[in-house]
Amino acid sequence: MIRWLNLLLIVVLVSELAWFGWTRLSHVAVEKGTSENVVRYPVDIPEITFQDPYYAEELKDLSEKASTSLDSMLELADVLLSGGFYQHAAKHYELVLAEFPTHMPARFKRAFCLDRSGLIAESTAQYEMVTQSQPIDDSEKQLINLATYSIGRNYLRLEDAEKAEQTFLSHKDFIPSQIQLAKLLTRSARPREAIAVLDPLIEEVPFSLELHFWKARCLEQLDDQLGMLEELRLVERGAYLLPSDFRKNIVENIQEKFGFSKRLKQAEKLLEQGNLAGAQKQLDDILNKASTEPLQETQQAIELRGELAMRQQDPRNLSLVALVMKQRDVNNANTIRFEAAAATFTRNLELARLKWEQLTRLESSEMAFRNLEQVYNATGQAELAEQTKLKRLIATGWRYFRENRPEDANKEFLLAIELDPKSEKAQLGHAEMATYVGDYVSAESAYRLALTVNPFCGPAARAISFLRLRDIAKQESQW
Amino acid sequence: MKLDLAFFLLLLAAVVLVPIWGLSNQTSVEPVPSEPAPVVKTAPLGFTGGKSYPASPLTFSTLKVDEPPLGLPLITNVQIIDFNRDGRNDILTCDASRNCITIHEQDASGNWAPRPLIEDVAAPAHATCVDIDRDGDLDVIVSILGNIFPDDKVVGRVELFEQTPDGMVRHVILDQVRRVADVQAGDFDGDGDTDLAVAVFGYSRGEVLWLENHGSLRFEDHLLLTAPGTIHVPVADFDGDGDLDITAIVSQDEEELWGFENDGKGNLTPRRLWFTINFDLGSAGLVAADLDQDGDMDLVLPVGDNLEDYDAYPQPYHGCYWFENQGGWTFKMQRIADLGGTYAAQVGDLDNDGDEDVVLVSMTNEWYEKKNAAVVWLENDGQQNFKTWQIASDPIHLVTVAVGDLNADGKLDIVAGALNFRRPYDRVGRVAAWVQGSREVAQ
Repeated sequence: MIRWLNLLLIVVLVSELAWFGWTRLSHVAVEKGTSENVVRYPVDIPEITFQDPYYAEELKDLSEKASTSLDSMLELADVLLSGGFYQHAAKHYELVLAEFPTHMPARFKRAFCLDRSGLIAESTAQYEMVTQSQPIDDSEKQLINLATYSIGRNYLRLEDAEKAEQTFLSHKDFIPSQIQLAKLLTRSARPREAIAVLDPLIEEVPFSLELHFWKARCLEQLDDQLGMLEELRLVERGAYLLPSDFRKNIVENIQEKFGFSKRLKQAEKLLEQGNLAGAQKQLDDILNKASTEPLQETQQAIELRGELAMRQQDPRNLSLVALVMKQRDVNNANTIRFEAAAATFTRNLELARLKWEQLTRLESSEMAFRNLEQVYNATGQAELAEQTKLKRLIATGWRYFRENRPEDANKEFLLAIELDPKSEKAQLGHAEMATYVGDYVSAESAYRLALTVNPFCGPAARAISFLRLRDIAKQESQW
Repeated sequence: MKLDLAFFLLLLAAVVLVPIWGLSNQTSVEPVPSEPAPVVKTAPLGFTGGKSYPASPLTFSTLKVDEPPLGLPLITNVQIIDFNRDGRNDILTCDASRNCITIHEQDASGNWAPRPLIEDVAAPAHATCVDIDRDGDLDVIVSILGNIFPDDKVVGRVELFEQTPDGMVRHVILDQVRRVADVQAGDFDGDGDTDLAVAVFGYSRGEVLWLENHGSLRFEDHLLLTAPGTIHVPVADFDGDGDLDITAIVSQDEEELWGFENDGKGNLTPRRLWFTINFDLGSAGLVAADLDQDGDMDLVLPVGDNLEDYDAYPQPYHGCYWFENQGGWTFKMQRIADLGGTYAAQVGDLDNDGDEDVVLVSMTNEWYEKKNAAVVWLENDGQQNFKTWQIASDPIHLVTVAVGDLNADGKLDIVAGALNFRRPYDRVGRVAAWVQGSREVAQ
């Protein structure tokens, strides 16, 4: 009998332990944000009619879940941030932080929301809390960098140069902070100190236009005219490689997870991958879901539908997309390109010529010139085809240059010169490339030819002055 | 048996104690379902200034000058000018969605109708009307961005449309440059013809140029400044020495005001007149006007362009700044308005009291609050103390404004243009006009 009672007591004890163990674990899980909480949290979403129906659905769904779950609360705050409702988002991040004060992404995003809502001091205080947190992974380390950078930028917004400088000075391993430091030093007439900051960065990122731009400004202050001009040439050759404004990135990273933006991104990806059927379905879904109200996202979906029709070589849909765009008062380069392509695919060469010609009035792109050249060739207009080919070669040359391929660019300009030695633009392009690759003799000769064709060619005149300055400096160094 | 009994007693004690232990622990760490939500210290969540103002004591009524908007219009510039020289003011608009310049003309009965004046211009930012060939009619010089959206590519142009009996004839007078935001005319080298000042806005790279007129519609470009983001280049005799100088406002993180002092022969010396380290200020334009009527040209700077944000809100430094010309290329800055998202300003004596007032429009006020201001005017008390009055809250996203007398009643009226590429896509407008009159506009 007693053994049966013992057995019964064991069962009861195990049950008790299981019950208390489970309730304890679930509390720990909630603390970690991985399970549903039973506390009811206040949810506050903007009282407006949302224009993006996907966004509205997602927001509604999340706001229902968020009243009992901090995970959903965090996601709700994100979706509000992505929609630009910074003040509402800040409020929900604050709720998350009340439970988990060390949640670094929530803290950072709350700071960002306050920052963009015009509360500079309040956002700085939040960014400072981020910088005092312990990062658990690389993404959190990056948040600390961004927070420090944002603190410095907030001091700039308050025109507190001293504190901004201190902040950037202490943030040595983050290149954007060092660029800000160099700017501050340059603008406070300390060019040598600025150059000491810029030079190691230039060594690290030789084709960053920002670094060369600020170095040019320093050299100007130091009355080094030739040095300044050389740096400005590197600005022209460089590219925007070192972002200094992360505001859009912060929002975009979240935006791409919700609403029309998410679907548009998916459609773009499908198009890139060549999954035309998938892209078509995604875009049609977006357009079916969109109301008749004009939205920027609907416009993007329509233009992507046009891109899809281009890939499908579908003149009917190209014409349809162009028509829809015009009905929405959009008569941009894409509208005309779709019309031109539709005419080309249907071999309506007269209309195609008119449309490609119209496009070249709006943009000097290789694509437009190539198509126009083909239409001229197909209609036996050899002279016009040759003139257009010249423009295409020059456009290709400049594209190569923007891709930091001056040698390839030069080949295109030389082909253009072969076609028309009296082309000022071809000579100028060749001269510029020759300068960039260090062939100053060819460069000067081509600049002079450009000036012979057009005595008022400003860039050629300026470049010759630059070459003269260079010669003088060279001679002085030899003496 | 004794062992079984001892084990029984032990188990019994455990069964009784475990719940007591569990519950005592639970009350200290577990949230209770009925517990209220955590209390958060909800401080103000957004800057509260610069959004709405008292209703204007001057009354305005809307005037229909344009077609209803289709889609999302992108109007970049409006100006009031008697272009067709019929004695009545017209409205000239640059449209970056239709990619054209439109003229809105009024007939003798005051009915307005738009017609395209120039087509196939890629994202025109400004149209400068000047008789460049001196044949007695107005030609149009178009500042071509090439792309309304941020773009550092070499897509800009300056195109001159010569007015001829057969229509407007296109001449490309500057290409191979980045996005061009403004062109202003003036004789800089004193040779009697019209030269041009050019703001190449670009994006990461840009410049200020002046184009020397060599006759026969041929121009030579001279570089004045290399800097990204130059928006406007107003021309006037800022130093009072009898020749035309150029000023330029550089935005895009730089936020600098430049003057180019002319020696009368086209030698223009750059002077940085002012700058701020506040990269977020958002300079949005520059207007030359003698605001204090002391005989020299001042500058008016609207600030609030934060298009780096998808959803920009009023910031504590937005509004309008007056740069009072104190002579010798010294300008004293004063903030005269705090309208959030201010994008354009114009100067004129709106209340006919003999002093100069200012009209401002907002691109990015807090638009979800429908009473917030889209158009305001700043009443000058004659001592350059300005009071802000709200004129309209619809349409929104306004980026350009002009003042002039539209109905020939001797009072200044207002025209504004909307650039609808940011949320909310609401209260969408194209070209809106308000005339001074008896019927009030919903404010």
